Amino acid sequence: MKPEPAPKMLSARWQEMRGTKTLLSAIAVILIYFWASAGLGINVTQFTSGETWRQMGDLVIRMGPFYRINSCKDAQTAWGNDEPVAGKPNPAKVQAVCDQGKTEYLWYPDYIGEQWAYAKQSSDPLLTTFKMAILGSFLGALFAVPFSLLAARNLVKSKAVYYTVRTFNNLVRTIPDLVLASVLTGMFGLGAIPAIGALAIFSFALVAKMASESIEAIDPGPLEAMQACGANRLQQIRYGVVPQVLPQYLSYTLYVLEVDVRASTVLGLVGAGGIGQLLYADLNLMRYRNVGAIVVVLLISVLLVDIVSTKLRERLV
Amino acid sequence: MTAVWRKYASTFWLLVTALLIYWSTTGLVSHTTSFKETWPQTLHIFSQMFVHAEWSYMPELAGKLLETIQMAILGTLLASILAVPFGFLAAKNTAKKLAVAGKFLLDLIRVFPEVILAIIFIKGVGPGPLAGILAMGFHSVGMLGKLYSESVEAIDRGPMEALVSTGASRIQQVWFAVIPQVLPEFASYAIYRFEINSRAATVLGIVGAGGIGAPLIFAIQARAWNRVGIILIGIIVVVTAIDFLSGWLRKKLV
Repeated sequence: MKPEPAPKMLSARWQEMRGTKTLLSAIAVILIYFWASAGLGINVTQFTSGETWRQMGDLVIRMGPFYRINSCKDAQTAWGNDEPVAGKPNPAKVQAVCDQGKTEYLWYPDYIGEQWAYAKQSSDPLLTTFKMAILGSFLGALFAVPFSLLAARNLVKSKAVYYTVRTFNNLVRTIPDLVLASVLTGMFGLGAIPAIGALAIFSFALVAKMASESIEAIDPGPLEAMQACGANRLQQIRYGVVPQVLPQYLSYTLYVLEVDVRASTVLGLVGAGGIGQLLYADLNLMRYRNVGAIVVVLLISVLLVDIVSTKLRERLV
Repeated sequence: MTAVWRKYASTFWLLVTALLIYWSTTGLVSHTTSFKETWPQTLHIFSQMFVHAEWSYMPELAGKLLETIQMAILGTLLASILAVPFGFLAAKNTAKKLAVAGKFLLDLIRVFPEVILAIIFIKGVGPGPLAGILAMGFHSVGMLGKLYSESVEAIDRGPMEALVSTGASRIQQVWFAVIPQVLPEFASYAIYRFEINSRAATVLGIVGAGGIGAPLIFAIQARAWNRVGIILIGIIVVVTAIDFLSGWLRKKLV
């Protein structure tokens, strides 16, 4: 056995990094950034204007339980009644709204109850989202089995088959999920089926790529032993490949489920059903408090799926 | 108990999975007609998309695709800069007890969908590439920060201790012991994220955040399948090219 080469000294690495090669690549990178920012019509000075920040802040605040007072009339309804919306009327604020055209946001706890009710209502579409993700990842992972076997260099002798399947897997992987969903909804109409189809194709490509890579990395020993005693191809795969890659394959499937839950929240944008669709309906109607409620529901559920899937995957591999 | 469990564990999980999948198929609403009816139409759509693709759209498409790549580059640049402090904040060896909070913060950023961020930024800066760049820039911090923190956690303490023993200042320690170790990995992760962002950038246009997404969604809504086809071909070509380029670059880096 050859001795391993000594690890490069850090100082040497540093010296290397300061060489002309680095200088050239740094210049190349800077040029790329210059090119990238050219012709996009980006106006960075927008950020110095308060209006930009006010607009974004307005959107974010309106997702919370706040009563927005935008005009003198709003101030009237907020404070003019016998039961003021948010505490005692504040003369300074009324003046700011009426005279200077300012916008005031009042903390209004009643909206929290409203948002909570809406969040509970949205549990149904949320379940639909989960269902779509589960079916999508399951179907995708299932279809990925033959394609990952055929895209593994150590199992397929024919170069033509190997490269064709591999190229196919890679090509499918390049299509973004939202694009898939919009094309499929265009073809098959609205609803869950095109969304599941899109998620399935998307998960298929991810699992096929990752699984074929782990098949290529298996220990060839058991495979050779079985070849030596005359096992056929299927037997080789069943007893030589499957036991080695099954935990990883399951782990990829869980990972894809995680990705699918995140993706199906966005698929609603193209009318694919689930909580995403509710979200965009509220966005279009500018019901920002509902949007806020859904976003919180989304954050919690995606975080939960992340945690569960990570824990399961840790046990698997 | 454990022996019985071990024997039937895989059966149990199989059953749970089967039940879960069965439950998923229940109550899904769909407005699709039967596949038999849509089959000829699907075939027609496919032939429109790929056989009769609208090649005359090429020049405009190329411009839009370039814009998409530019967006991905700038979004990744923004994220790779923003993620550096987060990476150090979420690493156990640099942030100590704060690391848990840092990791949670990164998870929180990661689950916030890009498209929603894009909608918020559009409100501020108006529709266009800038909103998309900002959305990608912020969303990518979640993943990049996590990867950065992992490579910060994996650094070799040796050089750092050597520098401490020679009386180097904190800045000198970071500059001579930490940066040379993590920089190639940081760059590699940023390139990987660029690969992902170039995919995301094709989608952001659907909400009006610039790039190829807007023409795509218009074409789909107008059922102009030959234009949808050429756009899809364009996306596939560009993303594949970026995949290759990024794979090659990353192999050179680490």
